[in-house]
Amino acid sequence: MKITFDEYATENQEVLQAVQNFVDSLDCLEKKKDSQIFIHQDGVKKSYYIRCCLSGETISNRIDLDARLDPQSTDTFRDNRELLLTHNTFRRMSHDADNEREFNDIIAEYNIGYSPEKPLKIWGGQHRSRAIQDAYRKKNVTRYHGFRIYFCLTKEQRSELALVSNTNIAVSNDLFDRQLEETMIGPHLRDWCVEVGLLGQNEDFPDVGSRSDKITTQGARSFVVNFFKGKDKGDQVNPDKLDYNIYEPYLCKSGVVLDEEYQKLIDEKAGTLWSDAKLKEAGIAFSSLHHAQYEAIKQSKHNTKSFRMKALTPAILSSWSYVAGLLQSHPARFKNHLTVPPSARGAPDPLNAYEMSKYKHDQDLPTYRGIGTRSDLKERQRIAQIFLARSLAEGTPIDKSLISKAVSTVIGLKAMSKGYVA
Amino acid sequence: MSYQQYIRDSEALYDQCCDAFKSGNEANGRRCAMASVLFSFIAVESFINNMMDDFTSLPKDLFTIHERGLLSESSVQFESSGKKAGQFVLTDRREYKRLEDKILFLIAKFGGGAAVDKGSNLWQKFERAKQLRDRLAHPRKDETPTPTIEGTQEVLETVKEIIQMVSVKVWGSKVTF
Repeated sequence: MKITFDEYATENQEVLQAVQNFVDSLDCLEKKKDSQIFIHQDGVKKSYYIRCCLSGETISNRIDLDARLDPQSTDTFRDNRELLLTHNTFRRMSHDADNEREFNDIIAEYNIGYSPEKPLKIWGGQHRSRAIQDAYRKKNVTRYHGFRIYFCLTKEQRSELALVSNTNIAVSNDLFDRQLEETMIGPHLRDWCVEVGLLGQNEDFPDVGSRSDKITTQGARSFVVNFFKGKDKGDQVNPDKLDYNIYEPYLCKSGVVLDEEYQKLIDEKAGTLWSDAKLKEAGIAFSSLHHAQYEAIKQSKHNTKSFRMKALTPAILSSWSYVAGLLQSHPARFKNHLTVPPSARGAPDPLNAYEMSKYKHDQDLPTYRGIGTRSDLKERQRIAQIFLARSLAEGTPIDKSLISKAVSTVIGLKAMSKGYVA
Repeated sequence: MSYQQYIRDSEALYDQCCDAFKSGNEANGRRCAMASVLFSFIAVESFINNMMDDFTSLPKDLFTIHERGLLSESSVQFESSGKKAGQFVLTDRREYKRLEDKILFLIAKFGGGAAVDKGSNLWQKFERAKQLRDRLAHPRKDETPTPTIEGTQEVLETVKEIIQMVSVKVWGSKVTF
């Protein structure tokens, strides 16, 4: 059989050899019928691939659903999302596979650098692949399925392939974030979260944050970025005028592109970021707040996920961290901020989630659902002011009066900045 | 309760007043009309007072003592003895300010420099509405004001326009009723 590069692909001997190895080791339809195989090259990332047909029997024990973004890493953390085996869509897929459905455009990488007994690392079409596997194992069903198989991928090409493949299906941004983090930054953020207690040992960021009780990659990035943003702002503000400003905590963007502020921070603080003692101190204190909130709500009559996870909501997390950074040159207030707030009278939890959920200012739309339920800038400004006001005195609880005064302060300062006539 | 709720109550009472007058039940129509006018003014008072409260939350040195007195509706007095002799001080004594004055202050201070145009159609309507409210709230035996359907509607609309005007001037954005 003949293997040739198409007219748009730059010839590459290493790739040609890898394709040859693939054909030698796996039986594809093209090999069986002695037909042509073309090597294509993607125009965007220049990655090489072929299209071919593989039978259910051939792939049943040669595919790897736990593909790694970094094949050199010995980490066993998953780069793909969890398989949803009880999902109705998968059940339908499985039923179809049992009835000899032929699937197409399954994305795989031929890689014998790890788990060589399963050289086809699946990047797109995990559920289809699993359905094909099951159909063969359980019912001996085998048909030809269409594959796109990539060769000699660089780390960047692999990461992009994983992202692009996953945009074909409903995948959360949390999974994209986790994949990008692992590929472009490494395991540092995850390790840092484990160290401060925001993740347990051997835990990873969730692939779907909304279904999880764990901090997301976006949340952890936002925490780190905001600490240093707050610190920078604190260095610029006259210490006597700390309470005269509206602060703007930042929320890292989630999805297929790494957030630029996070990237900037990583570049600027390479080598010192993950060992920063003050950041770590803040992380440990925030972790204590989250766990105190979680446990208090778990044992209360308002045991809802939104209340349990209140500390990890994007607006609260980013604002808390920003204020921690802002108070770096105010040790007494920093210390007050780090302590878990005592519960306000009648409230079971330190963040007083119920009172927050009831709060509404005259400026708010009728659809507003209380403090911390949204993550826009306005919300982050308000919450930063709540934490800043709380830091003024030791042991201040978060009660209705504190919340109301803090929000009024933000709204009053905004009105004044617009045009105060002395 | 929020000012929006008072506005909604006023609207509901206005609807009831219309229905009652149309069905010939004048007593009920009058009751609902009076209540609607009063609720409209409760709404605007609530809105303005809450806005004033926002400014009282700010650091004290951002305002003069007299401004703080107006914002917190507390009296300012001149001290003639003691440590603060010769100075104005803010007391704990309540000193309620007129609604018009509070609006004038908010617009003048935070409205970008433009004072309220007292000759404008809106301000004229507001003064008429205020007079009606005052006569309802402070009745005299020889004067029994009865708001009409049209008069009640004008009060409700005027109050909404005033709230909107202050919101736009001070916050830079409209509110939703």
